[in-house]
Order: sequence, then C-alpha cells, then structure tokens
Amino acid sequence: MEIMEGIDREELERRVQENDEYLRDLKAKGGTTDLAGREMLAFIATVVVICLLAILWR
Amino acid sequence: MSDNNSNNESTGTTGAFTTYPLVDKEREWSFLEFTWVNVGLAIATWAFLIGGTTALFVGVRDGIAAIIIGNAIGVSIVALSACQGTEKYGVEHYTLLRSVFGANGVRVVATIALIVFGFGWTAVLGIMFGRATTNVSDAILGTNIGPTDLTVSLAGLIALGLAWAVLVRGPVSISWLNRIVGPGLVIVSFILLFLIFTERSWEDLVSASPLDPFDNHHLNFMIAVELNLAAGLGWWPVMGNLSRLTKSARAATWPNLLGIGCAATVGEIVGLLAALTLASDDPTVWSIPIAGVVFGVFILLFIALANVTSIVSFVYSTALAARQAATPVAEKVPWLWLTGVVLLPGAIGIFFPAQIYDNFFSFLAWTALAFAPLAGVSLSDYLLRGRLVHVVDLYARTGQGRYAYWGGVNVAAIIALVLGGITYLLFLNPLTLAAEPLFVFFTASIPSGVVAAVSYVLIMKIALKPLGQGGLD
Repeated sequence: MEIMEGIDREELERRVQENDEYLRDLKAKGGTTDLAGREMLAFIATVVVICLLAILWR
Repeated sequence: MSDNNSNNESTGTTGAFTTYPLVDKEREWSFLEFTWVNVGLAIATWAFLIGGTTALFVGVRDGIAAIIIGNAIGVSIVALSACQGTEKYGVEHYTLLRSVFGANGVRVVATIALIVFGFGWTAVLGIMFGRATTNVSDAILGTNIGPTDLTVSLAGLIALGLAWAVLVRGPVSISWLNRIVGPGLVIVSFILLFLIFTERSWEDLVSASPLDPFDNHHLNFMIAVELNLAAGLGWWPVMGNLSRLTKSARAATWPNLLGIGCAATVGEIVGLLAALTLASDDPTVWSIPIAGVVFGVFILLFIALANVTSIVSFVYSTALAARQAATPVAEKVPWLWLTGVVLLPGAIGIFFPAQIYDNFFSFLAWTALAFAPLAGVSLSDYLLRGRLVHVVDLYARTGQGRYAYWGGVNVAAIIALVLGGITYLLFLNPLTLAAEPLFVFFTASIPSGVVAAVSYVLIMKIALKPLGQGGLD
C-alpha cells in the first residue's frame, strides 16, 4: 500500500505508534480512550433528562 | 519556540496544522481548557442571533425550552459523531472521514463544509461585526450608517483581517483569545440579562408575543426546536478538528455539553429575551437601547471582538477541510495563504448583508440539511467498525488500502447522505419553512440523521461487507 503524496510514511508510522502508546498509558492510568459503557450511557441520559426537564417546564 | 518550529508552523508542517496524527505532546487541551474554548466559541453574537431568530416564532417559555432541547440534542450528536475518533487517533476530522466516504468522497464532505463555513458563517459573523462597529460609530460620532450600507461590509472586512492575523499563529493563539473572550462574554450576557430584568418583569417577558410566527402554535415550537438543533449540528465540521487537540475521550466529549451546550443556551436565551423586549431579531441593535450609550458601546465592541474569535475557529477548521478537498495541491500551500483563500468567499459574502444576514433562519435550516445526514453516517460508521480505525490506511493513495472503495468513493455513504437529505426535504422546506404534518412530531433533522445512519449500516452490511469493501474486519 502506497501512502498519499506529501505524507512521509516513516513519520506517519512513528506518530501512529506513539499515539498507540499514549492510549495504552492513558487506559492504564484509568483515563478514557473511548466514550463507551457507563460513561456513554451517562452522557446520553444527561441529554435525555435535560430535554425532559425542558419539556416539563414549558 | 525554536526557529525550526516557528518555520514549521508558518509553513504548516507540524501536527496541529497538517493531516498527520497528533501525538501526546501536541494535544494542547485538558477537560477545562477545552470547555473554555467551547464557551468562547459558543457565546459569540451568533448565539444572540439564533436567540433573536427563535423569537420570530415563539415567546419566552417555548423559546427557552426549544433552545435547551435543540442545543442539547444537536451538540450531543456532534460530540458522539465528530469527536470520538478524532480524539482517539489524533487525526483531523476529514482524514478520519476517509474511512467513511473514501479519499475522493471526503472531498464532497469538505466542499459542503467549505460552503457553509467559508462562505456562510464567515459572512454572517463579518456582517455582524460590521453592524456592531457601525452602530458604535452612529452612537459616538453621530454618523447615520444603514444596516446594509457599504460601510458595514467594509467594517466586516476588518473582522476578517483580524481573524487572519490570529489564525496564522494557530491553535495556541485561539486558546489564549478564548480565555479572554469566553469569560468576558459570559459576564456580558449576564449583565444584559440583569438589565433586561430591571426594565421588565418576568410576567411582562412571558406575555411578549413572538415577532413573526406561523398560525400553528405547535408548529412554531417545533420550528424553534429545529433551528436550535441546526445550530447544534452546525458544530459538526468544527468540533472534530478541535477535539483532536484534547487529551482524552472524556475531555473531548463532555465539554461539548458544558461549553457549547450551556454557553450557547445562555447566549441564545439572552438573545431571545432581548429580541422579545425590543421587538427586533438583530443583536446589533439591542445593546444601546438596553444598556445606554456608554455601556452599550462597550458591549457592542466586546461582542465585535467575540465575532473575531468565532471566525478564527470556523476558518481554522475550514482550512483543514480545504486541504482535504484539494489534496495534494493544498497540502503544499503555506498555512498563511490557505487561511487567506478560505476567508475569501466570506469576504465576498459580506457585501450581501440583506441576502445572507437577513435570511438567517433559512441559512440555519440549510445547515441542518447538510450536517444531520453527515452526523448520522459518520456516527454509524464509527460504531459499525467497533470504534477501530486503521490509521495508516487513512493516508493510503486513492484506490489503495482498506478504505479504497471504488475510485476512492464509498457509494454507500453517498447514497445514505442523499437519502438523509431527501428525508429532510420531505419534512421541511428550508427556504420557506413550510412543514409537512409529521414534522411537528419528529423535527426534520432527527429523521434525516436516522434515515442516513440506518441506510448506511444496511448498505454496508448487505452490499459492501460481502464484497470485502470498506475494511469491515
């Protein structure tokens, strides 16, 4: 697979690898690399509650 | 900063300016910093304008509810569809979208963003800057400049020039500007609220009639919701490129609600109340009648400055879109000139204030028609892939790699976009706001996004996966 013009493959792969390591470290420290599971539900639930409160108040 | 780095920034070869994925040390924004950036973005005068536009259709109670509902839903859709992959992989939004649309298909998306932001929003904000500053001139110097006079347009060009000067310094300068303007505009908004309530009681405001409603009360409310949904969805092309500068998924997501959602809501409610109080939907005419000449002029000048920060953020994102639309030619263009080219359509649009600024509600509806299907398709694609994207393949030459598709175009995504757009038109006419009966139950944006998302997933699973297209492992 060839890489698009203007992008250096080595630099690209170095950055991808560095970011993968960053994500692993972040996850190991308890950080969020993906908004999933409970946090995703909490986010959606927050929006639903906000809308319901607005409708009820109206 | 070293000379080498300075040179890299000016020519656009560091991570934050190019399509390379960002690495740890280039992620500038924490949860709090990204929240303040969003506050600075959201509480510009366009929020007052949307509040004023809401007042065309509904009164205070319905207006506040519509603003809260529209923004909460619109912004959360953007947070989930535009901010997740870009933050995780540090890639810019339009590069990530190569997995959805293909290398050439993403040019279509980038072109849509260029039209809406490079032309539409930049012109609207520039005209507002022009009207605000010429109103200051009228108040202090005794001039008599009309809202569509050439002077307004020329003053608007100053805003674009200031924005350009900030843009060439990049995301760090955007962050610094927003640290000043964001909190300042929060204060201005609350002062305006205070002044409105010293003049009018809550009962007076609640009894104020909408400025130019349709006959059907429920239709007016849903149009108000739709326009505020459109305002929220309008962040779709912007937030992805900003959220890649954050340090975690949490920092990329919640600040959308806290910053964009809450701040825009406050700004729009202020706009709604001011519009109903003064019977005008144009924010540039409110400050002096509400706050008096001295304080009104101060507010107008601050609001004008805030418009510059919004233009900066929009053009930053649009310039990255332009790179995608015109790769590889645009990749070689220095950042200075790329941003200048992106500002150019808006600089032309500024000279048509009556057509653009005074038809703002229609512009909002077109924005929703463009971005609701895009949000639906991009969110469903990311979930369909199990949140896993092969980053190196995003940078493959057209026709190669996991996301090659056919000639670099994912037909499934384009079909889904078209179906989503048609769905929108079946519910609401963005030019006239003429609505079909089902609109009052579902709005137009939500069905549009849902149809685009569902049709995309179905086509990908039924047609493309069996053919080994799209990198669906």
